[in-house]
Amino acid sequence: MTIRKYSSLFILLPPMLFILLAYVCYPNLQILIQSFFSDRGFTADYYREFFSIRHPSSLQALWGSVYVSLLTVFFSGIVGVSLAYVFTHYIFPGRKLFSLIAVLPVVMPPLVGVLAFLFLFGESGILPRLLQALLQLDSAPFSLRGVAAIIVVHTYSMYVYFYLFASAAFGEMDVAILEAAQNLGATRWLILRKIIFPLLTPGLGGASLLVFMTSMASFSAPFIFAGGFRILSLEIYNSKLNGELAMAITQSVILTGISILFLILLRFYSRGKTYVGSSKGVRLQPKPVSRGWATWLMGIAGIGMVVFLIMPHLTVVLISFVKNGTWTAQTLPPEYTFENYISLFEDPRVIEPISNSVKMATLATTANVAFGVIAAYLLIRKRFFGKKLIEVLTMLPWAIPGTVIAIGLIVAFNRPTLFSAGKILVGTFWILPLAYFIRNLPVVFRSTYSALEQFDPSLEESSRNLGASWWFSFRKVMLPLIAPGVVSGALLAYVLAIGEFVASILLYNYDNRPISVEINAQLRIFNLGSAAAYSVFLFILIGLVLALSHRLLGERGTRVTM
Amino acid sequence: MSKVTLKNLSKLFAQTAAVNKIDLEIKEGEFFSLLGPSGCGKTTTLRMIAGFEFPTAGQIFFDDRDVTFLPPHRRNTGMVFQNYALFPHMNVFKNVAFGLEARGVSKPEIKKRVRDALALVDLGDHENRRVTELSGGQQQRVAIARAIAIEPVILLLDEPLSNLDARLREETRDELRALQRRLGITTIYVTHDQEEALALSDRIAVMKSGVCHQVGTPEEIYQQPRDRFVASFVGHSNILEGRVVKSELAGVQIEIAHKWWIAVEGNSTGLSPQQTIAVSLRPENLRFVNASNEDGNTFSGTIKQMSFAGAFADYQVEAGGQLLRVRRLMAAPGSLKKIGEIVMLQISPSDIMLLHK
Repeated sequence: MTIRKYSSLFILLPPMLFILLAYVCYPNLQILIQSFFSDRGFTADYYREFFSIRHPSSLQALWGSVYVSLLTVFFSGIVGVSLAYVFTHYIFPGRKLFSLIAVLPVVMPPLVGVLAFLFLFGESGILPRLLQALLQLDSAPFSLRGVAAIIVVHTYSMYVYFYLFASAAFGEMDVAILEAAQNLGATRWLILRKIIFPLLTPGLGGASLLVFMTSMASFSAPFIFAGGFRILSLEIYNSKLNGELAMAITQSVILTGISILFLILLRFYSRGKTYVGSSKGVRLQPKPVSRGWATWLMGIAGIGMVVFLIMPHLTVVLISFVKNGTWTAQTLPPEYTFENYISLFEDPRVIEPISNSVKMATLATTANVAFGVIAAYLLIRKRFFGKKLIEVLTMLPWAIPGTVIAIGLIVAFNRPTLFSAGKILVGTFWILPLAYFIRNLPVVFRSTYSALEQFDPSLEESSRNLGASWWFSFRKVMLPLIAPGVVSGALLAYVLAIGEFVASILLYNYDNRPISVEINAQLRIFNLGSAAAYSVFLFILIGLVLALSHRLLGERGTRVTM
Repeated sequence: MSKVTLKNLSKLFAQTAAVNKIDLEIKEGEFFSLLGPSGCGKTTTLRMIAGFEFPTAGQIFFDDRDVTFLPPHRRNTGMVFQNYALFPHMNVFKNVAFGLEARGVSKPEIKKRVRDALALVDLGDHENRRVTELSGGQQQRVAIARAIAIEPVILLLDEPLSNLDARLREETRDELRALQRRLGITTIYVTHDQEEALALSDRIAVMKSGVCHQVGTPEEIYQQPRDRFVASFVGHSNILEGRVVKSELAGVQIEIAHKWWIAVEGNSTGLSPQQTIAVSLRPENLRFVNASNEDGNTFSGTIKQMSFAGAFADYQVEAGGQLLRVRRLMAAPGSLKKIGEIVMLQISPSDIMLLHK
């Protein structure tokens, strides 16, 4: 009996552990160890170099990252919270549409978002040239470059965290609490300061840490816009390209250290700091804007917001019809064609990155699902020593910047190891699917875990009680109930893998080059139309996947309420 | 302490009148209840007094001051919300101190007044507890302490007992009444629970669909309901339709269901023979008697249902095609009637209430 009870654990646990040790622990340990060792043994030289005042490039990069991230938090916070405030408090034209569009930036693959901003606001972008033409100036009146550009792109894609956190917090706020404060003699300003703001703080604190982490790890925006400005994630890439692997490793350790520090902070912060309302209470109801002119103003501002949010997408679609090499000094591209799309279906050289990406994302996601389901099942249903460790290791890649994951794989598998069956993985096809798999470990695991957590074990017991075998109850009861959670996690992982750029750019070779790398390559040779066509292909794919996921989650929603 | 006057007060929500032309005068130091079913406008009335809603028409006075459109934070009313609305991010002390801080009261004074308020509700030793750690009853007392700490001119209570369990509710009810007496503060209490209103109030206004049906002391409301709604909403009533047979100065003779002639004592002015009228008989005023007694408002019936509640028993008696509720206190052992038993019911002329509408 006891043997049967533990048999699944004995069978399933060792491969789990092997995967985590080989592909999460080992590369990161290698990074950490190698940052302290040179050919001559133990050394702190690399760190001394990192922090040296005489060659301050690394320190500058560290400061640059922190500086950009702090500003990103600040601006994302202002945009996200004020939008959430307006949209939860007032009813005005366009409100519904906005709440759908507000999360659009999240589904934009990072590199594509950056491209869109480049086309729109960059030095030869549409808007600066438009203004120049309109005002008949000699040069563009403004253009987005350097730090400002990075921060704008970051704000565009990361305000959503604040928006979601703050919307939830406003939505849960009990109106009676605000009225009580008013009844006790508090003015509007006092209520804002003493009630609303403190109640928002936990959520905003969490969002700030999250945005800070994401911004520290961001690679695509600095990659395109940084110019001479140093950013740590980009500096790692440059060190690697310059053949200074040791320096890249040390920089990776520092960047990861900061990231993990913030992850720990986040955990501490969110613990015991949520104010669950003591009662049901009346939830905040948005009020119609009463004055006529205010309705118009809000409507116009809302429409302006919507336009700003979808303009990058529309721009990419527009550029995808541009004949390669025709858009030079004009405000708007002069010549349009379907060529870029036709070649997506016909030219084998154009198709290759797509088939590579599809193949690699499918492989990685399949492995993610297998791992995620088994790990979640073991962690929820079984009791064994080291559970916490498995959970931490599985979630760890979430805190590690993509650049660092790539460096870790390079360091670990640029020579034969036990974990790679005695082969060198770097330079082969397999290194990229492996990178995607590691990056998305937490994604599928998390969604499967929460689906399984909601699954009431007594359902399985009652199925067994009615005479069903384990396998029969698994198929007929458990699987249908947890499938939506698993599938939605898998779809998200697939979307992330197919647009992945950060690790790919460090690990690809010509034969397995993915879409994102090809977009970058086309951009570098000014084939803007081709780059944009690939991007539109990604949009469509991502849109389809998200629509599917939405349907599945909606279905789960109705199941849960039943 | 203030007197509160509502003059011709109305509130329209999207063309429907939540409150319809209410005139009320609430005396200084009075415990006044707004009683009615949900949607009767009682909460809207309270919220207009607090300043969370502004009336569509009419005026509100605290003493002689017109406060109709004064914003809530300048009215100096203390309100206890149905869900207490404690600030979840502050401890007990901070919650109670909030109103005083908003008024710019000095630190030592705040400390003293918070302590006093908490002592009044018996929570002196809970100052530093988080409000989320408290039980429902304790949270409710914090809410009361918070409302009285600001020394309001009027205390507004919005169904403050509805979130407590039955036993605690009764206990708290008595404490609340005692506290109000001690402070002598004008109190307006909103409830849908008629027992609560009867037990607590100096006076009650019974409301339905935004209209005030009757204002009076609990005794008046219970014993002289003005109309059918008040009679049936406050306590249980057997309401019977009848026709006036004879109207004299000393009383009225009414024929019910072409069967019974009953005599009713009391004011008969304005009643003329042949007019239809409704009467209300309280279940506890119906007695079982032994034999038919021709002159004494007696009728026979069959026991259809009986439920025994310890101190009393409730019966449903079918008499003349109507089901009558009868409540009898338990007397001698073995006095319980059985289902199917044929009984004689009697009611004295002074216990019958005429319902003019």
